Amino acid sequence: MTTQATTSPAPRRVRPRRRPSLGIIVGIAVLAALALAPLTGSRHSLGIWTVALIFAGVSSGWAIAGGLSGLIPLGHAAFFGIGGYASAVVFAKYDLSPWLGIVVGMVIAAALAWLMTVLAVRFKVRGPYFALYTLAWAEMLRILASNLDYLGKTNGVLVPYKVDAGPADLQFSDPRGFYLVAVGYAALAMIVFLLVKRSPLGWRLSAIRGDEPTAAASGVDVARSLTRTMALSAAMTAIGGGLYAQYIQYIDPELAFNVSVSIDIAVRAILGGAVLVLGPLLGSVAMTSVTELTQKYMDALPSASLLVLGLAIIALAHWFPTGIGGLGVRLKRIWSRRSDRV
Amino acid sequence: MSDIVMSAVDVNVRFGGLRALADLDLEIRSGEVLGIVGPNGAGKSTLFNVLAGAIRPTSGRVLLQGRDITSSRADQRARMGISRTFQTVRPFLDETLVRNVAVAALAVGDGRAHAMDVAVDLLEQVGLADKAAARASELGHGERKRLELARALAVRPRVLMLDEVMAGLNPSEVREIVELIRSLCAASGSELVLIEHLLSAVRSLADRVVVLDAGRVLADGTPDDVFGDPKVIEAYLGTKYATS
Ligand SMILES: Nc1ncnc2c1ncn2[C@@H]1O[C@H](COP(=O)(O)OP(=O)(O)O)[C@@H](O)[C@H]1O
Ligand SMILES: [Mg+2]
Repeated sequence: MTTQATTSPAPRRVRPRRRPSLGIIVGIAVLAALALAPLTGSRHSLGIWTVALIFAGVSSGWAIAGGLSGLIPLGHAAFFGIGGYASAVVFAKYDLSPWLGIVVGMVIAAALAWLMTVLAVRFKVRGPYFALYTLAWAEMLRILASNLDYLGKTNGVLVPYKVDAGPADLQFSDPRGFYLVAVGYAALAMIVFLLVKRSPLGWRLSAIRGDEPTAAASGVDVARSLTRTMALSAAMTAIGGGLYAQYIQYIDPELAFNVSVSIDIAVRAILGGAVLVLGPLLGSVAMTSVTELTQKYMDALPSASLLVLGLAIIALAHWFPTGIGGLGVRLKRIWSRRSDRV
Repeated sequence: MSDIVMSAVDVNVRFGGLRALADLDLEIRSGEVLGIVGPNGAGKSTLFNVLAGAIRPTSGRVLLQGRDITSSRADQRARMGISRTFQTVRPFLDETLVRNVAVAALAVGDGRAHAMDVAVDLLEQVGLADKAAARASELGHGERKRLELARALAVRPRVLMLDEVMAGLNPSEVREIVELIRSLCAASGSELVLIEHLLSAVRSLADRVVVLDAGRVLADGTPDDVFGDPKVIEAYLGTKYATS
Protein backbone atom coordinates (compact mmCIF):
# COMPACT_ATOMS: atom_id res chain seq x y z
CA MET A 1 0.00 0.00 0.00
CA THR A 2 2.75 2.37 -0.80
CA THR A 3 2.96 4.78 -3.65
CA GLN A 4 6.13 3.35 -5.13
CA ALA A 5 5.73 1.92 -8.59
CA THR A 6 6.15 -1.82 -8.69
CA THR A 7 8.48 -3.45 -11.18
CA SER A 8 5.69 -5.19 -13.05
CA PRO A 9 3.74 -2.56 -14.96
CA ALA A 10 0.07 -2.49 -14.04
CA PRO A 11 -1.37 0.26 -16.17
CA ARG A 12 -5.02 0.17 -15.14
CA ARG A 13 -4.42 -0.17 -11.45
CA VAL A 14 -6.80 2.05 -9.54
CA ARG A 15 -5.21 1.31 -6.25
CA PRO A 16 -5.84 4.35 -4.10
CA ARG A 17 -2.68 6.22 -3.24
CA ARG A 18 -1.63 6.32 0.37
CA ARG A 19 -0.93 9.90 1.32
CA PRO A 20 -0.42 11.23 4.80
CA SER A 21 -3.92 12.43 5.52
CA LEU A 22 -4.78 16.03 6.20
CA GLY A 23 -5.91 14.87 9.62
CA ILE A 24 -2.41 13.73 10.55
CA ILE A 25 -0.77 16.93 9.40
CA VAL A 26 -3.27 19.09 11.24
CA GLY A 27 -2.97 16.79 14.26
CA ILE A 28 0.79 17.20 14.44
CA ALA A 29 0.44 20.96 14.09
CA VAL A 30 -2.21 21.16 16.78
CA LEU A 31 -0.22 19.03 19.20
CA ALA A 32 2.94 21.03 18.59
CA ALA A 33 1.02 24.24 19.22
CA LEU A 34 -0.44 22.75 22.38
CA ALA A 35 2.98 21.68 23.61
CA LEU A 36 4.23 25.24 23.20
CA ALA A 37 1.09 26.91 24.52
CA PRO A 38 2.00 26.94 28.25
CA LEU A 39 4.90 29.26 27.51
CA THR A 40 2.16 31.85 27.56
CA GLY A 41 -0.98 31.84 29.65
CA SER A 42 -1.82 31.52 33.31
CA ARG A 43 -1.53 28.66 35.75
CA HIS A 44 -5.28 28.43 35.96
CA SER A 45 -5.74 27.87 32.26
CA LEU A 46 -2.83 25.42 32.23
CA GLY A 47 -4.74 23.23 34.68
CA ILE A 48 -7.88 23.38 32.59
CA TRP A 49 -6.07 22.38 29.43
CA THR A 50 -4.17 19.61 31.16
CA VAL A 51 -7.49 18.02 32.05
CA ALA A 52 -8.90 18.76 28.59
CA LEU A 53 -5.96 16.94 27.00
CA ILE A 54 -6.28 13.96 29.31
CA PHE A 55 -9.90 13.75 28.27
CA ALA A 56 -8.95 14.13 24.62
CA GLY A 57 -6.81 11.02 25.06
CA VAL A 58 -9.54 9.17 26.93
CA SER A 59 -12.00 10.11 24.24
CA SER A 60 -9.65 8.88 21.50
CA GLY A 61 -9.48 5.62 23.41
CA TRP A 62 -13.27 5.50 23.41
CA ALA A 63 -13.35 6.24 19.68
CA ILE A 64 -11.32 3.10 18.92
CA ALA A 65 -14.45 1.20 19.88
CA GLY A 66 -17.17 3.84 19.55
CA GLY A 67 -15.96 5.24 16.25
CA LEU A 68 -14.34 2.37 14.39
CA SER A 69 -16.48 -0.62 15.33
CA GLY A 70 -19.96 0.85 15.30
CA LEU A 71 -20.56 -0.27 18.87
CA ILE A 72 -21.84 2.48 21.16
CA PRO A 73 -20.17 1.88 24.49
CA LEU A 74 -21.57 4.16 27.16
CA GLY A 75 -19.73 2.82 30.16
CA HIS A 76 -16.15 3.85 29.58
CA ALA A 77 -16.12 5.36 33.05
CA ALA A 78 -15.58 1.73 34.09
CA PHE A 79 -12.16 1.70 32.44
CA PHE A 80 -11.36 5.30 33.29
CA GLY A 81 -12.14 4.58 36.94
CA ILE A 82 -10.18 1.33 37.00
CA GLY A 83 -7.15 3.22 35.70
CA GLY A 84 -7.68 5.93 38.30
CA TYR A 85 -8.04 3.57 41.23
CA ALA A 86 -5.21 1.31 40.11
CA SER A 87 -2.72 4.16 39.85
CA ALA A 88 -3.86 5.70 43.13
CA VAL A 89 -3.84 2.45 45.08
CA VAL A 90 -0.50 1.26 43.76
CA PHE A 91 1.08 4.60 44.68
CA ALA A 92 -0.70 5.31 47.97
CA LYS A 93 -0.83 1.82 49.44
CA TYR A 94 2.22 0.10 48.03
CA ASP A 95 4.48 3.06 47.44
CA LEU A 96 5.20 1.98 43.89
CA SER A 97 5.35 4.19 40.81
CA PRO A 98 1.94 5.34 39.57
CA TRP A 99 3.17 4.43 36.09
CA LEU A 100 3.15 0.84 37.24
CA GLY A 101 -0.32 1.44 38.63
CA ILE A 102 -1.41 2.69 35.22
CA VAL A 103 -0.14 -0.50 33.60
CA VAL A 104 -2.01 -2.56 36.20
CA GLY A 105 -5.14 -0.52 35.43
CA MET A 106 -4.71 -1.10 31.69
CA VAL A 107 -4.52 -4.85 32.21
CA ILE A 108 -7.56 -4.99 34.49
CA ALA A 109 -9.58 -2.67 32.23
CA ALA A 110 -8.69 -4.71 29.14
CA ALA A 111 -9.64 -7.96 30.87
CA LEU A 112 -12.96 -6.54 31.99
CA ALA A 113 -13.70 -5.14 28.53
CA TRP A 114 -12.86 -8.49 27.01
CA LEU A 115 -15.27 -10.27 29.36
CA MET A 116 -18.02 -7.69 28.81
CA THR A 117 -17.75 -8.00 25.06
CA VAL A 118 -17.57 -11.79 25.01
CA LEU A 119 -20.84 -11.85 26.92
CA ALA A 120 -22.37 -9.16 24.71
CA VAL A 121 -21.47 -11.10 21.57
CA ARG A 122 -22.67 -14.37 23.06
CA PHE A 123 -26.06 -12.89 23.96
CA LYS A 124 -26.29 -10.63 20.91
CA VAL A 125 -26.38 -7.38 22.84
CA ARG A 126 -26.06 -4.63 20.25
CA GLY A 127 -27.03 -1.05 19.47
CA PRO A 128 -28.77 0.86 22.26
CA TYR A 129 -28.81 -2.28 24.38
CA PHE A 130 -25.04 -2.42 24.24
CA ALA A 131 -24.93 1.21 25.39
CA LEU A 132 -27.12 0.45 28.39
CA TYR A 133 -25.31 -2.79 29.07
CA THR A 134 -21.91 -1.10 29.29
CA LEU A 135 -23.39 1.70 31.36
CA ALA A 136 -24.67 -0.91 33.82
CA TRP A 137 -21.16 -2.32 34.21
CA ALA A 138 -19.81 1.10 35.15
CA GLU A 139 -22.63 1.54 37.66
CA MET A 140 -21.80 -1.83 39.17
CA LEU A 141 -18.21 -0.74 39.67
CA ARG A 142 -19.35 2.56 41.20
CA ILE A 143 -21.43 0.70 43.75
CA LEU A 144 -18.64 -1.78 44.35
CA ALA A 145 -16.05 0.95 44.95
CA SER A 146 -18.47 2.80 47.24
CA ASN A 147 -18.69 -0.28 49.45
CA LEU A 148 -15.15 -1.62 49.49
CA ASP A 149 -13.05 -0.72 52.51
CA TYR A 150 -9.96 -1.42 50.47
CA LEU A 151 -10.88 1.44 48.12
CA GLY A 152 -11.88 3.83 50.91
CA LYS A 153 -15.61 3.43 50.23
CA THR A 154 -17.21 6.76 49.26
CA ASN A 155 -14.20 8.68 50.56
CA GLY A 156 -12.03 7.30 47.79
CA VAL A 157 -8.26 7.21 47.75
CA LEU A 158 -5.93 10.16 48.31
CA VAL A 159 -2.70 10.34 46.36
CA PRO A 160 -0.12 11.68 48.83
CA TYR A 161 2.50 14.30 48.06
CA LYS A 162 5.92 12.80 48.02
CA VAL A 163 9.07 14.59 49.08
CA ASP A 164 11.68 14.70 46.34
CA ALA A 165 9.12 13.38 43.87
CA GLY A 166 9.98 13.26 40.18
CA PRO A 167 8.51 12.31 36.84
CA ALA A 168 8.64 8.64 37.90
CA ASP A 169 6.06 9.54 40.56
CA LEU A 170 4.07 11.66 38.12
CA GLN A 171 4.59 14.69 40.34
CA PHE A 172 6.19 17.81 38.98
CA SER A 173 7.45 20.95 40.66
CA ASP A 174 6.62 22.82 37.46
CA PRO A 175 2.95 22.33 36.40
CA ARG A 176 4.08 22.41 32.78
CA GLY A 177 5.57 18.98 33.41
CA PHE A 178 2.20 17.34 33.85
CA TYR A 179 0.79 19.35 31.00
CA LEU A 180 3.40 17.85 28.69
CA VAL A 181 2.57 14.38 29.94
CA ALA A 182 -1.06 15.11 28.99
CA VAL A 183 0.02 16.27 25.52
CA GLY A 184 2.03 13.08 25.15
CA TYR A 185 -0.89 10.91 26.21
CA ALA A 186 -3.30 12.63 23.83
CA ALA A 187 -0.77 12.15 21.02
CA LEU A 188 -0.27 8.49 21.91
CA ALA A 189 -4.01 7.85 21.99
CA MET A 190 -4.43 9.48 18.59
CA ILE A 191 -1.57 7.47 17.13
CA VAL A 192 -3.01 4.21 18.46
CA PHE A 193 -6.41 5.16 17.05
CA LEU A 194 -4.87 5.79 13.65
CA LEU A 195 -2.81 2.61 13.68
CA VAL A 196 -5.92 0.58 14.49
CA LYS A 197 -7.96 2.36 11.86
CA ARG A 198 -5.42 1.51 9.17
CA SER A 199 -4.60 -2.00 10.36
CA PRO A 200 -6.28 -5.20 9.15
CA LEU A 201 -8.33 -4.99 12.34
CA GLY A 202 -9.46 -1.53 11.25
CA TRP A 203 -10.61 -2.93 7.91
CA ARG A 204 -12.57 -5.61 9.68
CA LEU A 205 -14.13 -3.10 12.06
CA SER A 206 -15.17 -0.93 9.19
CA ALA A 207 -16.91 -3.91 7.60
CA ILE A 208 -18.62 -4.78 10.87
CA ARG A 209 -19.74 -1.17 11.20
CA GLY A 210 -21.09 -1.35 7.65
CA ASP A 211 -23.10 -4.53 8.07
CA GLU A 212 -22.45 -7.38 10.45
CA PRO A 213 -23.95 -10.29 8.45
CA THR A 214 -22.15 -9.19 5.30
CA ALA A 215 -18.91 -8.87 7.25
CA ALA A 216 -19.33 -12.39 8.63
CA ALA A 217 -20.12 -13.73 5.16
CA SER A 218 -16.87 -12.10 4.03
CA GLY A 219 -14.96 -14.20 6.56
CA VAL A 220 -14.62 -11.51 9.22
CA ASP A 221 -14.56 -12.96 12.73
CA VAL A 222 -16.94 -10.48 14.29
CA ALA A 223 -16.65 -11.69 17.88
CA ARG A 224 -12.88 -11.68 17.92
CA SER A 225 -12.61 -8.29 16.24
CA LEU A 226 -15.00 -6.69 18.71
CA THR A 227 -13.46 -8.21 21.84
CA ARG A 228 -9.96 -7.17 20.83
CA THR A 229 -11.13 -3.69 19.99
CA MET A 230 -12.96 -3.18 23.24
CA ALA A 231 -9.97 -4.47 25.21
CA LEU A 232 -7.63 -2.06 23.45
CA SER A 233 -10.06 0.82 23.82
CA ALA A 234 -10.41 0.07 27.53
CA ALA A 235 -6.65 -0.05 28.06
CA MET A 236 -6.15 3.31 26.34
CA THR A 237 -8.95 4.80 28.44
CA ALA A 238 -7.46 3.42 31.66
CA ILE A 239 -4.22 5.34 31.03
CA GLY A 240 -6.21 8.57 31.06
CA GLY A 241 -7.99 7.62 34.26
CA GLY A 242 -4.64 6.94 35.89
CA LEU A 243 -3.21 10.27 34.78
CA TYR A 244 -6.32 12.10 35.94
CA ALA A 245 -6.20 10.61 39.44
CA GLN A 246 -2.52 11.45 39.72
CA TYR A 247 -3.12 14.97 38.47
CA ILE A 248 -5.90 15.84 40.90
CA GLN A 249 -4.23 13.56 43.50
CA TYR A 250 -7.47 11.98 44.42
CA ILE A 251 -10.06 9.50 43.16
CA ASP A 252 -13.48 8.58 44.48
CA PRO A 253 -16.41 6.52 43.14
CA GLU A 254 -18.17 9.51 41.55
CA LEU A 255 -15.11 10.98 39.83
CA ALA A 256 -14.22 7.52 38.60
CA PHE A 257 -17.42 5.77 37.66
CA ASN A 258 -20.29 8.27 37.54
CA VAL A 259 -22.56 8.04 34.49
CA SER A 260 -21.69 11.63 33.66
CA VAL A 261 -18.06 10.57 33.16
CA SER A 262 -19.11 7.95 30.62
CA ILE A 263 -21.26 10.46 28.81
CA ASP A 264 -18.56 13.11 28.89
CA ILE A 265 -16.06 10.71 27.29
CA ALA A 266 -18.45 9.69 24.52
CA VAL A 267 -19.77 13.19 23.83
CA ARG A 268 -16.31 14.68 23.32
CA ALA A 269 -15.60 12.10 20.61
CA ILE A 270 -19.00 12.34 18.97
CA LEU A 271 -18.92 16.13 19.03
CA GLY A 272 -15.58 16.19 17.22
CA GLY A 273 -16.18 13.19 14.97
CA ALA A 274 -15.65 9.67 16.26
CA VAL A 275 -14.27 8.14 13.07
CA LEU A 276 -11.65 10.84 12.59
CA VAL A 277 -8.24 10.95 14.28
CA LEU A 278 -8.67 14.56 15.19
CA GLY A 279 -12.28 14.25 16.28
CA PRO A 280 -11.84 13.56 20.00
CA LEU A 281 -9.20 16.26 20.36
CA LEU A 282 -11.38 18.83 18.61
CA GLY A 283 -14.41 17.74 20.60
CA SER A 284 -12.52 17.94 23.83
CA VAL A 285 -11.15 21.40 23.12
CA ALA A 286 -14.62 22.56 22.07
CA MET A 287 -16.28 21.13 25.13
CA THR A 288 -13.77 22.57 27.58
CA SER A 289 -13.96 25.95 25.84
CA VAL A 290 -17.73 26.00 26.05
CA THR A 291 -17.65 25.06 29.72
CA GLU A 292 -15.06 27.71 30.55
CA LEU A 293 -16.63 30.50 28.50
CA THR A 294 -20.11 29.93 29.82
CA GLN A 295 -18.81 29.84 33.38
CA LYS A 296 -17.03 33.10 32.79
CA TYR A 297 -19.76 35.03 30.99
CA MET A 298 -23.02 33.32 31.85
CA ASP A 299 -22.51 32.46 35.49
CA ALA A 300 -25.97 33.79 36.35
CA LEU A 301 -27.36 30.70 34.67
CA PRO A 302 -26.02 27.69 36.60
CA SER A 303 -26.25 25.04 33.87
CA ALA A 304 -25.51 27.34 30.96
CA SER A 305 -22.68 25.17 29.71
CA LEU A 306 -24.95 22.15 29.45
CA LEU A 307 -27.52 24.22 27.61
CA VAL A 308 -24.98 25.53 25.12
CA LEU A 309 -23.50 22.06 24.65
CA GLY A 310 -26.93 20.58 24.09
CA LEU A 311 -27.70 23.16 21.44
CA ALA A 312 -24.32 22.65 19.82
CA ILE A 313 -24.88 18.90 19.65
CA ILE A 314 -28.32 19.32 18.11
CA ALA A 315 -26.93 21.74 15.55
CA LEU A 316 -24.05 19.39 14.70
CA ALA A 317 -26.29 16.36 14.46
CA HIS A 318 -28.46 18.27 12.03
CA TRP A 319 -25.87 19.87 9.80
CA PHE A 320 -22.72 17.85 10.39
CA PRO A 321 -23.56 14.35 11.57
CA THR A 322 -19.88 13.43 11.48
CA GLY A 323 -18.95 16.07 14.04
CA ILE A 324 -16.74 19.15 13.96
CA GLY A 325 -14.03 17.17 12.20
CA GLY A 326 -16.60 16.20 9.56
CA LEU A 327 -16.98 19.88 8.76
CA GLY A 328 -13.29 19.98 7.91
CA VAL A 329 -13.56 16.85 5.78
CA ARG A 330 -16.46 18.34 3.89
CA LEU A 331 -14.64 21.61 3.30
CA LYS A 332 -11.66 19.63 2.06
CA ARG A 333 -13.87 17.72 -0.40
CA ILE A 334 -15.46 20.89 -1.70
CA TRP A 335 -12.03 22.39 -2.06
CA SER A 336 -10.52 19.45 -3.96
CA ARG A 337 -13.55 19.23 -6.22
CA ARG A 338 -13.18 22.88 -7.08
CA SER A 339 -9.47 22.56 -7.74
CA ASP A 340 -10.18 19.55 -9.98
CA ARG A 341 -12.26 21.75 -12.22
CA VAL A 342 -9.72 24.50 -12.48
CA MET B 1 -19.77 -40.77 -3.16
CA SER B 2 -16.65 -38.66 -3.33
CA ASP B 3 -18.18 -36.30 -5.89
CA ILE B 4 -20.48 -34.71 -3.31
CA VAL B 5 -18.91 -31.45 -2.23
CA MET B 6 -21.47 -30.26 0.23
CA SER B 7 -24.72 -31.55 1.58
CA ALA B 8 -27.61 -30.80 3.87
CA VAL B 9 -28.89 -33.85 5.71
CA ASP B 10 -32.40 -34.02 7.12
CA VAL B 11 -32.47 -30.30 7.85
CA ASN B 12 -35.35 -28.66 9.65
CA VAL B 13 -35.72 -24.97 10.31
CA ARG B 14 -38.60 -23.63 12.34
CA PHE B 15 -39.43 -19.99 12.91
CA GLY B 16 -41.92 -20.21 15.75
CA GLY B 17 -44.74 -22.31 14.31
CA LEU B 18 -43.53 -21.97 10.73
CA ARG B 19 -41.56 -24.79 9.11
CA ALA B 20 -39.30 -22.97 6.70
CA LEU B 21 -37.41 -26.17 5.86
CA ALA B 22 -38.84 -29.62 6.49
CA ASP B 23 -36.71 -32.80 6.49
CA LEU B 24 -34.70 -31.41 3.66
CA ASP B 25 -31.87 -33.29 1.96
CA LEU B 26 -29.70 -31.64 -0.65
CA GLU B 27 -26.44 -32.53 -2.36
CA ILE B 28 -24.10 -30.20 -4.17
CA ARG B 29 -22.00 -32.22 -6.57
CA SER B 30 -18.54 -31.57 -7.85
CA GLY B 31 -18.33 -29.37 -10.91
CA GLU B 32 -22.01 -28.68 -11.27
CA VAL B 33 -24.11 -25.57 -11.51
CA LEU B 34 -27.16 -26.20 -9.38
CA GLY B 35 -30.26 -24.06 -9.78
CA ILE B 36 -32.67 -23.73 -6.89
CA VAL B 37 -36.10 -22.43 -7.74
CA GLY B 38 -39.44 -22.23 -6.04
CA PRO B 39 -42.19 -19.80 -5.17
CA ASN B 40 -41.66 -16.98 -2.71
CA GLY B 41 -41.42 -18.22 0.84
CA ALA B 42 -40.44 -21.72 -0.28
CA GLY B 43 -37.35 -21.62 1.92
CA LYS B 44 -34.62 -20.99 -0.65
CA SER B 45 -32.88 -18.17 1.20
CA THR B 46 -33.28 -20.06 4.45
CA LEU B 47 -31.49 -22.99 2.85
CA PHE B 48 -28.60 -20.69 1.90
CA ASN B 49 -28.52 -19.31 5.42
CA VAL B 50 -28.22 -22.84 6.77
CA LEU B 51 -25.53 -23.84 4.30
CA ALA B 52 -23.55 -20.64 4.91
CA GLY B 53 -23.92 -20.79 8.69
CA ALA B 54 -25.93 -17.58 9.03
CA ILE B 55 -28.57 -19.55 10.93
CA ARG B 56 -28.39 -22.84 12.82
CA PRO B 57 -30.93 -25.41 11.70
CA THR B 58 -33.40 -26.56 14.32
CA SER B 59 -32.23 -30.08 13.50
CA GLY B 60 -30.15 -31.78 10.85
CA ARG B 61 -26.59 -31.51 9.66
CA VAL B 62 -24.49 -29.70 7.09
CA LEU B 63 -21.50 -31.49 5.61
CA LEU B 64 -18.57 -30.14 3.64
CA GLN B 65 -16.73 -32.95 1.89
CA GLY B 66 -18.05 -35.37 4.44
CA ARG B 67 -17.05 -33.25 7.42
CA ASP B 68 -19.78 -32.08 9.78
CA ILE B 69 -19.70 -28.28 9.85
CA THR B 70 -23.15 -27.72 11.37
CA SER B 71 -21.72 -25.92 14.37
CA SER B 72 -19.20 -23.69 12.61
CA ARG B 73 -19.94 -19.99 12.28
CA ALA B 74 -20.62 -18.02 9.11
CA ASP B 75 -17.17 -16.42 9.06
CA GLN B 76 -15.46 -19.78 9.53
CA ARG B 77 -17.43 -21.24 6.65
CA ALA B 78 -16.55 -18.28 4.47
CA ARG B 79 -12.90 -19.00 5.18
CA MET B 80 -13.52 -22.67 4.29
CA GLY B 81 -14.66 -21.44 0.89
CA ILE B 82 -18.43 -21.46 1.34
CA SER B 83 -19.42 -18.10 -0.04
CA ARG B 84 -22.80 -16.54 -0.60
CA THR B 85 -24.45 -13.38 -1.77
CA PHE B 86 -27.43 -11.92 0.05
CA GLN B 87 -30.79 -11.53 -1.59
CA THR B 88 -30.98 -8.07 -0.05
CA VAL B 89 -27.49 -6.70 -0.58
CA ARG B 90 -26.05 -4.52 2.15
CA PRO B 91 -22.60 -3.36 1.08
CA PHE B 92 -20.35 -1.39 3.42
CA LEU B 93 -21.77 1.94 2.29
CA ASP B 94 -19.11 4.26 3.71
CA GLU B 95 -16.29 2.28 2.16
CA THR B 96 -14.85 2.38 -1.31
CA LEU B 97 -15.63 -0.49 -3.64
CA VAL B 98 -12.07 -1.84 -3.41
CA ARG B 99 -12.26 -1.94 0.34
CA ASN B 100 -15.69 -3.60 0.22
CA VAL B 101 -14.13 -6.45 -1.70
CA ALA B 102 -10.62 -6.38 -0.23
CA VAL B 103 -11.77 -7.01 3.32
CA ALA B 104 -13.01 -10.44 2.23
CA ALA B 105 -9.68 -11.22 0.57
CA LEU B 106 -7.96 -10.05 3.73
CA ALA B 107 -10.12 -12.37 5.83
CA VAL B 108 -8.94 -15.43 3.91
CA GLY B 109 -5.33 -14.52 4.60
CA ASP B 110 -4.18 -12.14 1.92
CA GLY B 111 -1.96 -9.28 3.06
CA ARG B 112 -3.44 -5.82 2.67
CA ALA B 113 -1.56 -4.93 -0.51
CA HIS B 114 -2.40 -8.23 -2.15
CA ALA B 115 -6.01 -8.01 -0.99
CA MET B 116 -6.26 -4.65 -2.75
CA ASP B 117 -4.91 -6.18 -5.96
CA VAL B 118 -7.33 -9.08 -5.73
CA ALA B 119 -10.17 -6.64 -5.18
CA VAL B 120 -9.25 -4.54 -8.18
CA ASP B 121 -9.07 -7.64 -10.37
CA LEU B 122 -12.48 -8.81 -9.21
CA LEU B 123 -14.03 -5.40 -9.70
CA GLU B 124 -12.67 -5.49 -13.21
CA GLN B 125 -14.28 -8.88 -13.77
CA VAL B 126 -17.68 -7.61 -12.68
CA GLY B 127 -17.28 -4.42 -14.69
CA LEU B 128 -16.86 -1.97 -11.82
CA ALA B 129 -13.14 -1.21 -12.17
CA ASP B 130 -13.75 2.40 -13.13
CA LYS B 131 -15.62 2.98 -9.89
CA ALA B 132 -13.14 1.18 -7.64
CA ALA B 133 -12.39 4.31 -5.64
CA ALA B 134 -16.02 5.42 -5.33
CA ARG B 135 -18.04 4.73 -2.23
CA ALA B 136 -20.55 1.89 -2.25
CA SER B 137 -23.28 4.35 -1.31
CA GLU B 138 -22.89 5.98 -4.72
CA LEU B 139 -23.84 2.79 -6.59
CA GLY B 140 -27.17 1.98 -8.18
CA HIS B 141 -29.06 -1.22 -7.50
CA GLY B 142 -27.62 -3.28 -10.33
CA GLU B 143 -24.10 -2.15 -9.52
CA ARG B 144 -24.56 -3.13 -5.90
CA LYS B 145 -25.51 -6.62 -7.00
CA ARG B 146 -22.31 -6.86 -9.01
CA LEU B 147 -20.28 -5.53 -6.10
CA GLU B 148 -21.86 -8.22 -3.93
CA LEU B 149 -20.78 -10.80 -6.48
CA ALA B 150 -17.19 -9.52 -6.42
CA ARG B 151 -17.19 -9.59 -2.62
CA ALA B 152 -18.45 -13.16 -2.58
CA LEU B 153 -15.73 -14.18 -5.04
CA ALA B 154 -12.99 -12.60 -2.95
CA VAL B 155 -12.95 -15.44 -0.42
CA ARG B 156 -11.93 -17.78 -3.29
CA PRO B 157 -15.03 -19.94 -2.95
CA ARG B 158 -15.20 -23.66 -3.38
CA VAL B 159 -18.97 -23.33 -3.26
CA LEU B 160 -20.51 -20.09 -4.45
CA MET B 161 -24.16 -19.48 -3.66
CA LEU B 162 -25.92 -16.66 -5.44
CA ASP B 163 -29.28 -15.58 -4.06
CA GLU B 164 -31.36 -13.90 -6.77
CA VAL B 165 -28.51 -11.87 -8.21
CA MET B 166 -30.69 -11.01 -11.18
CA ALA B 167 -33.71 -9.74 -9.29
CA GLY B 168 -34.45 -6.14 -10.12
CA LEU B 169 -32.02 -5.97 -13.01
CA ASN B 170 -33.07 -4.83 -16.47
CA PRO B 171 -32.80 -7.29 -19.39
CA SER B 172 -29.43 -6.06 -20.60
CA GLU B 173 -28.02 -6.23 -17.08
CA VAL B 174 -29.39 -9.76 -16.81
CA ARG B 175 -27.68 -10.73 -20.06
CA GLU B 176 -24.40 -9.30 -18.79
CA ILE B 177 -24.58 -11.08 -15.49
CA VAL B 178 -25.53 -14.40 -17.12
CA GLU B 179 -22.43 -14.09 -19.28
CA LEU B 180 -20.40 -13.19 -16.25
CA ILE B 181 -21.62 -16.15 -14.22
CA ARG B 182 -21.01 -18.45 -17.14
CA SER B 183 -17.42 -17.28 -17.47
CA LEU B 184 -16.92 -17.53 -13.71
CA CYS B 185 -18.06 -21.12 -13.78
CA ALA B 186 -15.73 -21.91 -16.64
CA ALA B 187 -12.77 -20.22 -15.00
CA SER B 188 -13.00 -20.88 -11.29
CA GLY B 189 -13.77 -24.56 -10.99
CA SER B 190 -15.86 -23.83 -7.94
CA GLU B 191 -19.31 -25.25 -7.48
CA LEU B 192 -22.05 -22.80 -8.13
CA VAL B 193 -25.47 -22.80 -6.54
CA LEU B 194 -27.93 -20.40 -7.95
CA ILE B 195 -31.24 -19.27 -6.52
CA GLU B 196 -33.09 -17.59 -9.29
CA HIS B 197 -36.60 -16.56 -10.09
CA LEU B 198 -35.72 -15.95 -13.68
CA LEU B 199 -36.38 -19.39 -15.10
CA SER B 200 -34.81 -18.60 -18.45
CA ALA B 201 -31.55 -17.80 -16.71
CA VAL B 202 -31.68 -21.02 -14.69
CA ARG B 203 -32.44 -23.00 -17.82
CA SER B 204 -29.44 -21.59 -19.64
CA LEU B 205 -26.99 -21.86 -16.72
CA ALA B 206 -27.86 -24.85 -14.55
CA ASP B 207 -26.84 -28.48 -15.00
CA ARG B 208 -29.36 -29.57 -12.40
CA VAL B 209 -32.41 -27.93 -10.87
CA VAL B 210 -33.98 -28.46 -7.46
CA VAL B 211 -37.48 -27.13 -6.90
CA LEU B 212 -38.40 -26.18 -3.36
CA ASP B 213 -41.96 -25.74 -2.21
CA ALA B 214 -43.03 -25.06 1.37
CA GLY B 215 -39.66 -26.11 2.73
CA ARG B 216 -39.51 -29.43 0.86
CA VAL B 217 -37.87 -30.67 -2.31
CA LEU B 218 -40.61 -30.94 -4.90
CA ALA B 219 -38.46 -32.00 -7.83
CA ASP B 220 -34.80 -32.63 -8.63
CA GLY B 221 -33.36 -33.23 -12.08
CA THR B 222 -32.18 -31.72 -15.34
CA PRO B 223 -33.78 -28.42 -16.29
CA ASP B 224 -35.80 -30.01 -19.08
CA ASP B 225 -37.16 -32.76 -16.85
CA VAL B 226 -37.96 -30.45 -14.00
CA PHE B 227 -39.66 -27.72 -15.93
CA GLY B 228 -41.75 -30.29 -17.81
CA ASP B 229 -42.92 -31.88 -14.57
CA PRO B 230 -46.66 -31.29 -13.99
CA LYS B 231 -46.11 -31.02 -10.21
CA VAL B 232 -43.70 -28.15 -10.75
CA ILE B 233 -45.93 -26.38 -13.22
CA GLU B 234 -48.80 -26.64 -10.79
CA ALA B 235 -46.74 -25.27 -7.90
CA TYR B 236 -45.87 -22.27 -9.98
CA LEU B 237 -49.25 -21.66 -11.57
CA GLY B 238 -50.82 -22.12 -8.17
CA THR B 239 -48.81 -19.38 -6.53
CA LYS B 240 -48.26 -17.04 -9.44
CA TYR B 241 -45.01 -15.87 -7.98
CA ALA B 242 -43.67 -12.39 -8.48
CA THR B 243 -40.08 -11.26 -8.35
CA SER B 244 -39.30 -9.58 -5.08
N1 LIG C 1 -35.54 -14.80 10.24
C1 LIG C 1 -36.80 -15.24 10.01
N2 LIG C 1 -37.71 -15.20 11.00
C2 LIG C 1 -38.97 -15.65 10.80
N3 LIG C 1 -39.41 -16.15 9.64
C3 LIG C 1 -38.54 -16.22 8.61
C4 LIG C 1 -37.19 -15.77 8.75
N4 LIG C 1 -36.56 -15.96 7.56
C5 LIG C 1 -37.48 -16.50 6.73
N5 LIG C 1 -38.66 -16.65 7.35
C6 LIG C 1 -39.86 -17.26 6.77
O1 LIG C 1 -39.49 -18.53 6.26
C7 LIG C 1 -40.13 -18.79 5.04
C8 LIG C 1 -39.09 -19.06 3.97
O2 LIG C 1 -38.45 -17.83 3.67
P1 LIG C 1 -37.26 -17.72 2.63
O3 LIG C 1 -36.27 -18.78 2.90
O4 LIG C 1 -36.79 -16.32 2.63
O5 LIG C 1 -38.03 -18.03 1.26
P2 LIG C 1 -37.54 -17.78 -0.22
O6 LIG C 1 -36.13 -17.33 -0.23
O7 LIG C 1 -37.74 -19.11 -0.89
O8 LIG C 1 -38.47 -16.76 -0.80
C9 LIG C 1 -40.99 -17.58 4.75
O9 LIG C 1 -42.31 -17.87 5.17
C10 LIG C 1 -40.39 -16.50 5.59
O10 LIG C 1 -41.35 -15.56 5.96
MG1 LIG D 1 -35.28 -15.63 -0.87
